[in-house]
Amino acid sequence: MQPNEQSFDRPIPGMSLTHELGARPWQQPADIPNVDDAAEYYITQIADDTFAKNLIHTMKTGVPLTTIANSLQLTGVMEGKHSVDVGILMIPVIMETMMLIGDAAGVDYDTGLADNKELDQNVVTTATIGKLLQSEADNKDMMEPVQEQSVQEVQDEPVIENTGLMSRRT
Amino acid sequence: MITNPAAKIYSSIDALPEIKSRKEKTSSTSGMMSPLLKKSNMSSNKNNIEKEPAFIVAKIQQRIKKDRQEIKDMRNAT
Repeated sequence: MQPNEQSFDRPIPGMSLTHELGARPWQQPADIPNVDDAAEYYITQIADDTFAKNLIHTMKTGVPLTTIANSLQLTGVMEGKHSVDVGILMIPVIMETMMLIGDAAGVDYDTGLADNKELDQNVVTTATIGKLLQSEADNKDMMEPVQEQSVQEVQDEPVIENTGLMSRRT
Repeated sequence: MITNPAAKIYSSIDALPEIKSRKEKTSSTSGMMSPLLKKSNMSSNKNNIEKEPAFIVAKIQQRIKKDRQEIKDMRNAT
């Protein structure tokens, strides 16, 4: 997806209120309350042979590790394994473990960290301003003929004299 | 604004200086006054920092990174 494209794949406002409070796993107390146990859980899960094989295969396809790490921790939150803050703190551990597996297997992987360096803030700002100016120019082009036409229509409209008992006198 | 929280949190934790394991200091003082002469406040502050989740995560991340570097060096050597 391009950075300037708007994503519509989002929850509908109020979607979280469609179930009773406590019906969802993330509304229950977390299974793993602290970061020590959460790190152990993720390291064990990632080091699993089947998972590691799939992970190496995914790395080869060029999926950034940041995306995989984010998905993993988000799944943990959804399943009620841990809270959101523990999940966020787990990202470096998950990423480092995945890099360890990638290096051990000799796979060239994309960490997903280079994007931030390459994507300079000035570039984004310039692009945004450019787009705004372009859209403004387009709007002007669209508006001008309409205005002319409306003026023309007003001029061409025949003057209808009010007739009848209830008509307002001028 | 385009943000990548995973990259940001990784970069932040990765940028932290190396956490060295603290040596357990044995109390040199002895006698009746020794409990009063201990620098209990300083050590308790350090212990508090070490219990912080971010600190624990940084420690784990650095340990895994060290192992990763060793594996990389071994692969480069062969």
